[in-house]
Amino acid sequence: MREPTFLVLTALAGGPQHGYAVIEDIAGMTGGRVRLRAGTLYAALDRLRAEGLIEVDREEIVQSRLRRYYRLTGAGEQSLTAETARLRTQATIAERRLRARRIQLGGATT
Amino acid sequence: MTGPESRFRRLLALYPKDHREEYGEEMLGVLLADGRTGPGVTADLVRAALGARFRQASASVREELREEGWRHAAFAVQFFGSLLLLAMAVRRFAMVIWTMVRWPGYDISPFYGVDLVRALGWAVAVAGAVLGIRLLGVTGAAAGLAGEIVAPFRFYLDTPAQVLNAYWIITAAAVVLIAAAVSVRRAAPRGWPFVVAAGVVLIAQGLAPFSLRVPMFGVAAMLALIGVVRLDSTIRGRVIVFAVPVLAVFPLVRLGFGGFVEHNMRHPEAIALIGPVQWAVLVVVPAAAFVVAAGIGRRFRGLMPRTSKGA
Repeated sequence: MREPTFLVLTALAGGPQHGYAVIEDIAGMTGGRVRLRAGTLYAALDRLRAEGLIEVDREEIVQSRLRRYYRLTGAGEQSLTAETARLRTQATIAERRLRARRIQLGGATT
Repeated sequence: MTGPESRFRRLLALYPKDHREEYGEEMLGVLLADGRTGPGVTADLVRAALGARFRQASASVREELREEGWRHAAFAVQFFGSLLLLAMAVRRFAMVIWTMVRWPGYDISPFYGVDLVRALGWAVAVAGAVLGIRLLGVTGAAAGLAGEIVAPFRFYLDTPAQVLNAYWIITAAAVVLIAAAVSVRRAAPRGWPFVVAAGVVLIAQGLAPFSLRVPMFGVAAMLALIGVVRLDSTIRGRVIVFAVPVLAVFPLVRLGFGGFVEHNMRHPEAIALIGPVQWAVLVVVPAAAFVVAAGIGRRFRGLMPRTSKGA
């Protein structure tokens, strides 16, 4: 799963959000490192809808413009859970190896 | 309407109609709320719009190829295409052997391996088509395509034009491989004896004196065309659509790469290789030609009376 997809699913795991709120949420989650642009965001939303991982929650008109809220589906929750577990496993391995490396390097210098 | 809004609307017009209807107004709201207007936003929208168009086109091609009419036409393309490509491969092999007989001292060793692989590959592909064994047809066509690609690429660094000159045959081989992968077996397509005759003339053409080569190539092309004309009317149009990517290569190479070839001829000391954008054009144009031709064919079939509309 690519990072924008993971971040969009993570944003919607917190509850239904409209497009601009997703951009803001992701910028907040990543400390401003990732600020999705509209083209990338809607490419991800369209694909995730087609795959059944998200769906439209509700629509409203704000200042005469359509605002659509999206929510995570059951399949989306499962997919995010699986991806989170995968990332956690990889992060744990990386952490363990880095710790071992620090111990080795520490041993070599003392 | 504000300046950024009209600019965003123009960029959103690049998206396919369905996507625009579904997300256009919503995206416009997000773009205006976001406030970013720089080249990064433009590039992002252009890239995403092209991606959406590509996904839509590839989905429509996949859907088309699943239709029975296309799968029947694919069988004729596999049958005729494999036969003609086998003839071309045998022709080159025969030319090598003829050279060896006439000039025994001439080093022809670079021709052996690849020419043998593609000749055998297309022979296996023909066998797959005749026997109706998909795996055999696909494997043979894949080996043939690999041979057609490797053959001109052996000289790519010295003479990139060789790849361009052979590009139509590489495209034809790719079309036959796709056709072999999606076809359903039927009886041998009507008109096959003409295509076999075209193949025989092609082989003979390779060994004929230079003065006869152009007329003989014309005879082979005419025979192949008669073979296509004699096909069942329900699949003929789709077979022609399959041929369009191959036909599109000729004007593409001549018009799009004429300057490139001329530069290399004039400057052998600084040979230019085919760049990434040029490669993209070489891949995209035949694919786009197929999509456009399929669309025209669909409309044409829609205008025809139901009795001759075909499968």
